[in-house]
Amino acid sequence: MDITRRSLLRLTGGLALASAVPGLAACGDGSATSVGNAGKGLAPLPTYTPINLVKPDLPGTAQGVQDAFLTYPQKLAQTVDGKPGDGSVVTCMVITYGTAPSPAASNKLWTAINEALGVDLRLTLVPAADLNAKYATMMAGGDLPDIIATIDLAMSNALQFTQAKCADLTEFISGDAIKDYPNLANLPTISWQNVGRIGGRLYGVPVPRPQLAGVMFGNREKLETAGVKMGLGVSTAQFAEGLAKLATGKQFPLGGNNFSENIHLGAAGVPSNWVLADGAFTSRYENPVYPEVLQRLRDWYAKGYFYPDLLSTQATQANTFFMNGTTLTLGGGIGGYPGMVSGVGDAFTVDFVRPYGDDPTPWLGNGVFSNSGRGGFTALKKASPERIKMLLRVLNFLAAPFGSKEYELINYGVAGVHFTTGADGDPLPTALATTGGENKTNLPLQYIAAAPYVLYLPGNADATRRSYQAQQEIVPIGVGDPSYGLVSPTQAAQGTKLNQQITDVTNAIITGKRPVSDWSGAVSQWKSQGGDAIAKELAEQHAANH
Amino acid sequence: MTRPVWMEPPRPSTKAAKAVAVTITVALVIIPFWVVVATSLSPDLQVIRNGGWSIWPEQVTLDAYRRLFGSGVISHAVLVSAVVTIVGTAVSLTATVLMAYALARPNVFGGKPIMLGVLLTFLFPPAIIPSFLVVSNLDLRNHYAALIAPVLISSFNLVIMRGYFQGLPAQLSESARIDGAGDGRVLWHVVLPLSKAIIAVVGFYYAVGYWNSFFNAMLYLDDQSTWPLQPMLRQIVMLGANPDTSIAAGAGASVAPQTTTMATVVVAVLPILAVYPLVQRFFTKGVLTGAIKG
Amino acid sequence: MAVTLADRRTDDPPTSAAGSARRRGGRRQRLRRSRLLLLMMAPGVLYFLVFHYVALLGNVIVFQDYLPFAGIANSPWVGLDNFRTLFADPDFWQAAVNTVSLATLQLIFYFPVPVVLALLLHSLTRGWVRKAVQSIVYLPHFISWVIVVALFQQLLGAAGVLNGLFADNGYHLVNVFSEPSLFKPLMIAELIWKDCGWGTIIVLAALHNVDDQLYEASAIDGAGWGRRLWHVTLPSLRPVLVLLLILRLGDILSVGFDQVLLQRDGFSPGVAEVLDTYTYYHGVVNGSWGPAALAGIFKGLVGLVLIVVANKVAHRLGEEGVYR
Repeated sequence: MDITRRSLLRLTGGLALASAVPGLAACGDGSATSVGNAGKGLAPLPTYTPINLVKPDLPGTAQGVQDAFLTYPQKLAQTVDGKPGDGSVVTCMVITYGTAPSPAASNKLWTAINEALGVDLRLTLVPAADLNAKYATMMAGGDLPDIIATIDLAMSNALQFTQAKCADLTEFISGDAIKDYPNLANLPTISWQNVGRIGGRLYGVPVPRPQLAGVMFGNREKLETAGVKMGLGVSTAQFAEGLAKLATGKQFPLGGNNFSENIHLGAAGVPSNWVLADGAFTSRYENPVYPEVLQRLRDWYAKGYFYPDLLSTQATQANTFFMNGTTLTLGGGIGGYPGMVSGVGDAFTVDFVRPYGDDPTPWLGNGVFSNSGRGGFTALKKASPERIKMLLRVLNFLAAPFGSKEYELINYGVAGVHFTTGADGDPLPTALATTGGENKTNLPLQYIAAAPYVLYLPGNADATRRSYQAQQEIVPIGVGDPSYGLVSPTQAAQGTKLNQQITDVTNAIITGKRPVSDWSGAVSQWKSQGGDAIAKELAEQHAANH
Repeated sequence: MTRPVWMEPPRPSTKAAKAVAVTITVALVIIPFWVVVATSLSPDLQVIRNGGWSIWPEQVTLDAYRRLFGSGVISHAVLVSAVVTIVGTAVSLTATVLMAYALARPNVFGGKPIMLGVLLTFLFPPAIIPSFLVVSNLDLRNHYAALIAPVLISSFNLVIMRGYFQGLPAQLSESARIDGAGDGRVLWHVVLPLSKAIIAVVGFYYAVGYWNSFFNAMLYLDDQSTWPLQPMLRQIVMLGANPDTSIAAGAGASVAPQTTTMATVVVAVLPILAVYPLVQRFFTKGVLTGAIKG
Repeated sequence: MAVTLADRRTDDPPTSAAGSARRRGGRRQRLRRSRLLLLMMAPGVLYFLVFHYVALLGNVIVFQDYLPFAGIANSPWVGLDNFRTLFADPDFWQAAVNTVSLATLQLIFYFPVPVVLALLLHSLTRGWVRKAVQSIVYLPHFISWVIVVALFQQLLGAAGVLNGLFADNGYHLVNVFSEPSLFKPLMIAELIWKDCGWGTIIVLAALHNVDDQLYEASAIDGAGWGRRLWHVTLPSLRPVLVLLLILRLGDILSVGFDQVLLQRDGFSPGVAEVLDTYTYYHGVVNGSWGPAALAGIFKGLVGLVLIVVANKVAHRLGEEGVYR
């Protein structure tokens, strides 16, 4: 594939991301409601009004490199005056990745947050493993909480549900109306875009995330001794040679709990899930380079470069194997970096394996949090305009940016109770925050609404610099997925199943259970069973919005 | 128990073979359990270095248990689990004994269709959403009754218990009936004393079922701080699955989830270990024999 | 319910044809005699009606494209579409075949193990040893599958103890968790480890109820250990074993959802997809509730056929079975 075409792809991907008129697909097939945006007056997205409380030590870029802070700000600003709430009970359903917090009455963090919010926040915390079941029963029961966070586009009919049962927020947040909620106006436009509109209207508030989402952590010392330097420009051959040197008896250079195909595809120049050219969407599966990548990974698997049992390994165990040097790389989310750095400690340096190959096209994420990775948002139950405004003020409080007092309360708790200030000014968690369990993991307000993600590892400026440096190199050559913000009904109904089928074939090919020649058949099947329909629907949606 | 008189003394070879078989069986269970306990007591760093387990703590630490019990939530959950298990087992056992006894009586009115109806529920368990709607419409959500009512009777246990009652010698209850005893008295004075072992087993099955269940609490109790133990422990075991952080980093602490995971196993198993000897007591011999002779 | 039926016992006797009257009278008499028994059953019957049969009505969604938020009333009816989709999918039948073969192997290699272990435990003559061993062997039942699989990987995985020894001595790795031919043996080994001790409990309870006089008489007749086992122990265990076997057959297509789901990807679905994981990937994760419900009904129907057949066979063998 020649460079010009590649650059063109990058450009179209970028265009799709930057365009101001994304939309969501119609649910179609005769259903009474229509979530599509085609032919409807599109409500303007919230006007982006950035807040600059603290000057970052290492400034981010418009392309999506995170703002990085080497030290904690000395003076904190107040972004919310008075209490946003009206003293009423506010119920909220939200995902959790932590353990149960102690009840609000005996929980100093929860009490302080309720006090600051001026509401009695009652949380229904849903363990990630039970997200679909719990949300499906909530929808079926019809007894909605005031705030419905972490609605996931991978849930069936998430959009129809939102349109039918949730509050239309357009008049409150569209265009300049968002200025009533300055912290929400500070959320980057791309995150609003990827939440998109439903039937032309705005229903959801995004939880923003960095543009670079999927990364490959690497054991820097080990990789460098084998000639894999932490920078762009490592050729595929050099990378493979390095792996060969590192694959010894009980050490496996490539770890994780899946094959991290996205990383290897990006390295080989297969850009993102979908490619948009001349108004038509083409799947990555149809890329002629795809089978070459499969062949390469299959060879690597046969040679023992991959940890052989990775497909039946749990995430925790995969992390442990990386931390103890059994494996030397680990595919994961960039949000896992701080935890990985502190878990590894001094054993080795956690760095980011750069996309190898001659002209890599690393994949960028969709800039919003969702459990499935497909996208998601926070919606509100239908209520009087006064109550909606109150709930939006609560979300506005929770979205206060880094460097504000509100951010500190939500992320670190109460000074002297949940954290103390270290010699360098960094907040250090107290025992109550760690073993006492009163922390943001167990009280996961961060998944209801949040500020743009900043890069700050308390007390570890070097680790912050490493991530910043990697983002500086990777993000500019990164490619976004033009299908973000467009949802096809076929994708919504069949996507998970279709993906599973193709993942199954991919895994079987890489582990040598099926020949690479089976790939084209699997792709034809994927296309006929729904892939072609998805491509068509995406193109229609895209055209309708342009 | 010692060897009964009628049993010939075992040959040395038999004895040796048994000893080997028992030793191997016990070792297959004890060694992994030892690993579980040792890992839960080991320092995080040692466990990470060793790849997720440990056979001997370099230094015994209760950190994992502190993380579990630090907030006091788990201690409360243990209490909730204990109460739900005790109450649930009592109610379920009563309902099961009554129904099993009635269904075991020959020619009970409606006995056959009801039995078939029960068997069908064994084959076609209800799905999540309809069950939720039933519980919701009965206003049981956010009540502990929601952890008991939807699983009141296990058709498996019912069938087992009915089968046992049917196997009891009919002449015993018949002679009681001739003496003028009604079904209530026959059940209480004849059948139950003969059925201690099966009642102990089924009761134990129920208790373990209540103790281990996690899904209903997740579904029906919205406030996590009211949850019993198992859904909380499960949440801890699943911690590693966050796509966002992919590793559980509670407030920046370095966490080796394996130590905590293994501690959850210990916490979940210990109470059962304490209860089983009580169940064993009901495995007494001679109740039946004595009754027949008498 | 029982009470209202019983209250009608004072009604005038029917005056229709004599035969019918006698039959009705017989039934009424039976009803009267059963009054107390019906009262005993009432809580259970009510439970099964409310929490099972009302909930089972929800299965009409097999004819729907069910949308939870719209409810059954407002979800679109799609006729037999779900049936066509499910039964036309070769992957479904592949999963059915995998399930049946795994279930058969479980019946052959797992089902007898608790019985054998229980006999061994029961034969231990020293009381404290017997009790201690009993309390130990059922412990693995309480470890969740996630952890059981992790423990097996610590032993047999590529970075596990065994392969560590192999690697130290220059041998190649054995990929126990991805070699397709090892899928079924591994599943059964894990199952035996986790549940065979637990399975002994009911067998032990039954063994304790074997009449000692039978052993005594048999021993006096000069029967050795083997003949006593064959002529006394096993016949005494037969009713409970038959019951357990029939119930297992009814549930035959459930071969361990958590266990398989955790390890399926490593072996690839060709050998490791079972009906429960198929339903999960094709129904539950996608929110396709209709096909998921349909797959559940399919499993139930297969179980129903097997239970009916097994029960008939049990009756032939002179056993009570699960119903008569």
